[in-house]
Amino acid sequence: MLPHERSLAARHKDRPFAIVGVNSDPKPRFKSSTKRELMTWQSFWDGGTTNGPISMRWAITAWPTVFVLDHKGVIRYKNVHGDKLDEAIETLLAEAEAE
Amino acid sequence: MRILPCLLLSLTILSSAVGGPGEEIDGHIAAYYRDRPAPDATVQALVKLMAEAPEDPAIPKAFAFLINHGGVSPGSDYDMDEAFLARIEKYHRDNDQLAAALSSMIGFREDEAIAFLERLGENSQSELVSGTALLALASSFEHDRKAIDRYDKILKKLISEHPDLKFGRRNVTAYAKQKLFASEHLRIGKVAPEVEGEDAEGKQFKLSDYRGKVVFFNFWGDW
Repeated sequence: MLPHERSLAARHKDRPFAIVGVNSDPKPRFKSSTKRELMTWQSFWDGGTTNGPISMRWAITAWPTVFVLDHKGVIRYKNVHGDKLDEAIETLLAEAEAE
Repeated sequence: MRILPCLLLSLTILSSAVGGPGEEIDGHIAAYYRDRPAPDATVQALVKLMAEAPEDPAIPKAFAFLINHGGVSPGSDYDMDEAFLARIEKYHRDNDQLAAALSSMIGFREDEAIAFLERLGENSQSELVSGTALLALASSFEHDRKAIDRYDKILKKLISEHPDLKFGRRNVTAYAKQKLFASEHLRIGKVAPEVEGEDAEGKQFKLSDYRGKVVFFNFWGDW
C-alpha cells in the first residue's frame, strides 16, 4: 500500500490531489512509521486503537479501508485498489480540473 | 362441569411433561448430536412434530434447530412456507425463546421470511423477539441498494422502540445508531462527514481543509 501511496503523491503533486490518513497505532509507532515511510501527507491520530472515535464513527471494521472523495468532499469510491484506484483518482482529477 | 376444564388442563400438562411432543423434540435434537444421523432425518421428524403440535412450548427450540442445522429456508423441501411460519407466529409470537431462531435468520431474503420478521417486529409483545426480528431484518437489507429507505426505517424503529435491548453483550441501540450513521452519511454519493483531529506532530486539522482537492482517504496502521 505505502509504495503505491508514495507514487500517487509524487505523480499528482502538481494537481488538486491529497492523501489523508487515519492512523490506529499507539502514538510512538504512528510517529516512527510516518518518518520511516517518508509520508509527506497528514494522518489523523485515532487515539491509539482500532476502536478510536474516527474509526467507530466511520464504521471501519477492516484495515486498510479506503475512500476516494471528489473535490467537493463527496464520497465517490470505496475500497478501490491498484489500477482501479488509479483510474478512480484520474476520473475525479479530470472533473476537478474541468471546473 | 367445572372440573372438566381443570382435568383437561392437567392432562395437557401431564402429556407434555411425559412423552409429549416437547420431549420428542428434545429426543430428536439429542439424538442428532449423539448419533449424527443425516440432518434430513432429524429435520423431517421435527417438521412433522411442528405440524402436529404447533402449540407445544418446545416448538421454538425445534424451529431454531431447523434454521441452524437444516439449512432450511422458505421454498426449500421442508415446507417452511407461509403456513409453517404462520403457525409459529400464532402460538409463539410473544415467547422469548423464539429469539434464538430469529437471530439466525440474518440475511434471509425470501418474501415469506421478510414478512414474518416484519410482523414479529411490529406485533410481538416480547421485547427480545421484536428487537431480534428487527435486527435480522436490518441485516437482510444492509447491502441492498434498492431498500435503503426500508433499511433506515428499521434502524430508526430499533433505536426509538428498543433503547435498552442487548444482543449478547452488545447494546443494540449503539449498533443501530452506528449503522444508521453509515447508511445516511457514508454511502457513495454522500458528503463525507467532517473529521477533526491532530496529526503525528500534534497539529490540529480537519478533513474539510482539503476541500477543492481529490482526497484519497485511508484508514491505516503499521501492523
